[in-house]
Amino acid sequence: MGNIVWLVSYPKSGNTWFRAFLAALLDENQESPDINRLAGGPIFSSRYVFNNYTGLDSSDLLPDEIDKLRPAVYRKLSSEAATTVFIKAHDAYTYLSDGNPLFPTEATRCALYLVRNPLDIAPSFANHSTSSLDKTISSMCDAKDAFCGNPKNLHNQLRQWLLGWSGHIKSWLSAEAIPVRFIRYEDMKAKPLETFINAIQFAGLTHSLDAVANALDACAFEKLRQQEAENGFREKGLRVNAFFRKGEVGSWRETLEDRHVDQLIKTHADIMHRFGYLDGAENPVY
Amino acid sequence: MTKVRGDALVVFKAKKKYLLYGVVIGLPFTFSQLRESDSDPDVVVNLGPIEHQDIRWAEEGLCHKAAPGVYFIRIQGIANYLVRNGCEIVVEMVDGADPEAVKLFLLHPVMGALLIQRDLLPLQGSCVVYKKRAFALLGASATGKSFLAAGLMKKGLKVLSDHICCVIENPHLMVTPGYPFLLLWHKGLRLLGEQNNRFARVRQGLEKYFFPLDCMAEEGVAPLCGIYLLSNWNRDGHEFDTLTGFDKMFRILDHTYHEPSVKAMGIFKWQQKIGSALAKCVPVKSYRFSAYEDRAQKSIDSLYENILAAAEK
Repeated sequence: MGNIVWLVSYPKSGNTWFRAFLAALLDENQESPDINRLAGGPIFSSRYVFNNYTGLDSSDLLPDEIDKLRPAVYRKLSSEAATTVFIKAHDAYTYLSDGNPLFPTEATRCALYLVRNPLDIAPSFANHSTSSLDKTISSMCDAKDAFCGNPKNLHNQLRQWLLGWSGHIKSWLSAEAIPVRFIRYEDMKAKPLETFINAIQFAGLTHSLDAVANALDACAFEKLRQQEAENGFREKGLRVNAFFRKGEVGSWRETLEDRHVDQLIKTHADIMHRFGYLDGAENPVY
Repeated sequence: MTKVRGDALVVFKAKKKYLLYGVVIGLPFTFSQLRESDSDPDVVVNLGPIEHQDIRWAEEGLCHKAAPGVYFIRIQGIANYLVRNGCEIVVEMVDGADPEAVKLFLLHPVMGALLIQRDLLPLQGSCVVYKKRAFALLGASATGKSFLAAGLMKKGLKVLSDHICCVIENPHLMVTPGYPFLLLWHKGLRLLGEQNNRFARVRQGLEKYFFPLDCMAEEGVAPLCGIYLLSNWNRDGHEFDTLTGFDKMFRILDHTYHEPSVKAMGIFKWQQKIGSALAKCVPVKSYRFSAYEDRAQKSIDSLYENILAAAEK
């Protein structure tokens, strides 16, 4: 078993909040975790990490050539780690042309997969990427969608296959080689103590209930939002007022039009049912 | 003249000679984008099998190995390269490999290792010249170094090198000219008002192009008069910050090209020495700017104004 715990999610599903929680939990002296120095970084798709470990200039490599080397990079990183390392990832669970998974099994302790209602993701993702709702939802419904996948530009991160919202989740549901725990964002909000302690226990951490409660308090949404207002947040988009906006469950009802809702439900109904986002009559639960 | 692997790469018995970082390289094949030379080669490149079983490596990475005076790197599906004593490179091509890719990896990372072996300090970045004074633009991959250099060239500055900024101490700190082109992505060309179909791709499948410097390239070495450490941020506008103190040297050396191999190749002390000289003699500024395309021209203009002001001091 490896040392890496993957913090996996489709974008805008609570990964940053979870990393803030981890930062507070792992450094109990912090009153509030520094949002620009969160746990779970660097991201799995970091170009910097790839270049440093391979000694290559990834900008000279084709995306498929890069993917072939990514498992080896994280096998080495895991072997060099003295303890558990949390690494954020937005990649779907995919396989390389040689049949091996992109996420190296030997380097992996487990994966925590954060799931969020796609109806709430859509407006948040559109705002984050300063894109229209139509375009964002089209990407969320595109089974071939990739992040940083435009070959005409050099992105600061490596290409990440997203495969659409449900495609992303399905890929991780089929990841049998590694233990995966699915955690709903809505449960993180509704019953945080229970949800977060279950998650960290799955990852092998043994912190007390008090420690978890203190960490949750330290990374309360308002504190993160205030910190961003005072110091900025490096993961925020340029034209976006704030990264930490609402984080509320069900706020899609203020933003999405019926056609947006219909498109998301039509494309993702099976997985939305599975995770409790639709009732038996295909109506949104949240 | 011998042809190998169908018509993939034309190999010549007599070496083709090219000037790169002040070093004459003798190649067994044509590299038409490089600047030719009439001088005897300082470095000979040969095609053939690589034997390295007897070498005791000081460092073994995922793709590379290094020891004093020796560096080996494997580019899967393309070629293996062995660099020895700063004067010899052996290239073992993979059958059916794209010859353009074989040449590209010869430029980097292989040339970077060669420069280290020759006691030259390769820094990760581009270099521009104004009034015969060189200014290095250093930064991590995807920061926008080549794009800024191209933008500065359009405003009248000369480009001395791209991707690797090679510093020599002779006795002053100077920068040597690199290859006579910039490597620009499709989007970068578009932002500069250029059509990508006018330029050759660096290799099949990559939307990255040779953007020739032509007569605008500076011919000789130039004294290094300023270093800009580039990074992107998600705010409007930009920020210059002058670096001072002990931290300055380490911030520069963080940008050493293939830093992990430096120690293994046995020149760590020398690297520290030249890094110390750089920190002592050359003004260093951080330049944080927005990478968004509607801010691109502003980022170029701000850097241009700052370089002009620095050059007049």
